[in-house]
Amino acid sequence: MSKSIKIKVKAREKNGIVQAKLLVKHPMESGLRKDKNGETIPIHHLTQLYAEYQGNTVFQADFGPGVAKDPFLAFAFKGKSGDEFLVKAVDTKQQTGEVKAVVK
Amino acid sequence: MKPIQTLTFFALVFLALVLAPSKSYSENSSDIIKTISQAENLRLEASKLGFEWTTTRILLADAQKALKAGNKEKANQLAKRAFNEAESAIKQAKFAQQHWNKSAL
Amino acid sequence: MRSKAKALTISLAIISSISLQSVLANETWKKQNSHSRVAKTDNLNYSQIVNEDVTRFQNFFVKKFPNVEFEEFNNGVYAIDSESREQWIEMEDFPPYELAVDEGKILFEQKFDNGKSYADCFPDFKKGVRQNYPRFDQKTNQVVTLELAINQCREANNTAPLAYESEEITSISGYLAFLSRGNKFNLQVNSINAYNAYLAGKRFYYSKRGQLNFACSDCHIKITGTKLRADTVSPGLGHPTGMPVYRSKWGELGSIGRRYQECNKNVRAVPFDLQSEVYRNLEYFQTIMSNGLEVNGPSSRK
Repeated sequence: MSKSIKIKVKAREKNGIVQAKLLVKHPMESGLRKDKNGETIPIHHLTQLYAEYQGNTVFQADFGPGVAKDPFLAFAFKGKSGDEFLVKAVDTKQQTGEVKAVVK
Repeated sequence: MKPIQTLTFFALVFLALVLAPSKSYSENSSDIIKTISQAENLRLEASKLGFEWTTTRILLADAQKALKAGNKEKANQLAKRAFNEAESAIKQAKFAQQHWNKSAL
Repeated sequence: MRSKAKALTISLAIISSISLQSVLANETWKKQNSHSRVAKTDNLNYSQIVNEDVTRFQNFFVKKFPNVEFEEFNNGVYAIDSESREQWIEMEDFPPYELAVDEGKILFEQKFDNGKSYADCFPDFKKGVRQNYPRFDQKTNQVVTLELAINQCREANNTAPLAYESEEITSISGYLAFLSRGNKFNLQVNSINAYNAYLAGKRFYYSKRGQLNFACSDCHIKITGTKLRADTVSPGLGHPTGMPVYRSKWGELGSIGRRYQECNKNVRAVPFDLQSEVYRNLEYFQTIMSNGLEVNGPSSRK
């Protein structure tokens, strides 16, 4: 299981609420597309992404094949500037991604 | 007009339509092949000028397919359309050469 | 007799007006001709001729969109369409090309097998180099785009060139553009060969092509600001400043050459090869027309 999914996080706190924005680099192949030779491009997309903050899951996304390439996600949770939170993702090929983000 | 004149007029029109040569299909395969090859030559000329249209080679391919399938009328139509397109593309190239600057800011 | 004289007078009037019109057209054509004739002698002030072209070109758009500041034209359709501009500004908070810029930095910093790196070819990369491209190279007598320069750098260091429009080359181009943001384009045409390349690009821009018989100018000058199907047509001024562009439609970065191929196919004209002489000359012309605008690449578009 390779840790190869790249996740970029930007998080900023305002009035006790952290606004988190994520860009995940992923081809998000639905498994329905065909290439130039008529061959089906194999399925390869994120299945789950979640964010952990102080022991709690503050965000979870379960992906189907309908989400487009390099998904952009945004969510909010109660938190403070300077705090850390963890973002983890896994895809159909069992590849994973993990990033530790600091709230601005 | 007097009724007899109207009647004569329409009788003549009717006769003209009936006796006019009907468009019976007379093109033979070698003529169609000639049209296809002429169209292909013009397409290459348009391509050299940098003004080939994407639709022309599709028409030519479809003309070949129709000819192979024995559909001579369709093959001839497609070959003629390809020929006209390639001709137009060449005209377009020459027009651009002479007149492009007239719309230049 | 009276009707005959009348007919004669009328036909004389028509003939003389037609010939007067053609004489006037000839005069206008001669005037325009000086800015479109292929240069054969080296004693013309090409810089001045080109800068006059730029002024006329830019004035057209400034007049057509009086509520748009000149500096804003580098944002393309978002300078003239407020609704799509709102969506774009939201996206710019965390734009889709950020991943590619990060990737581009990593690729740019990788050393070649011989120990050298891209920084040796682009020593001013931190200050920004994007605004210097495309440039006319006198030695090889051709227009050099940033993508071509990246591959020239690789070849000069015994490294295989990258495929044009590959993720690698667009990421490096995106990274270099990002570092150049804010720098103004100010390309000057100083030689007969550069002028002829510029002219070739200009000619392409205004030539109708394809089964649909459109020139670049037909959309981006004549009907700019109006709708083409569901899209508002962007102005020609400022097109190259934000390259490479992350088109949502592509889901990745692409250079202006990729867009040229798309546009040509849209009007049913057979496209040219990426980084072909035709497209490089066109990019040269277009970038010169955007002189005075700031680099704002990489950018995101629909």
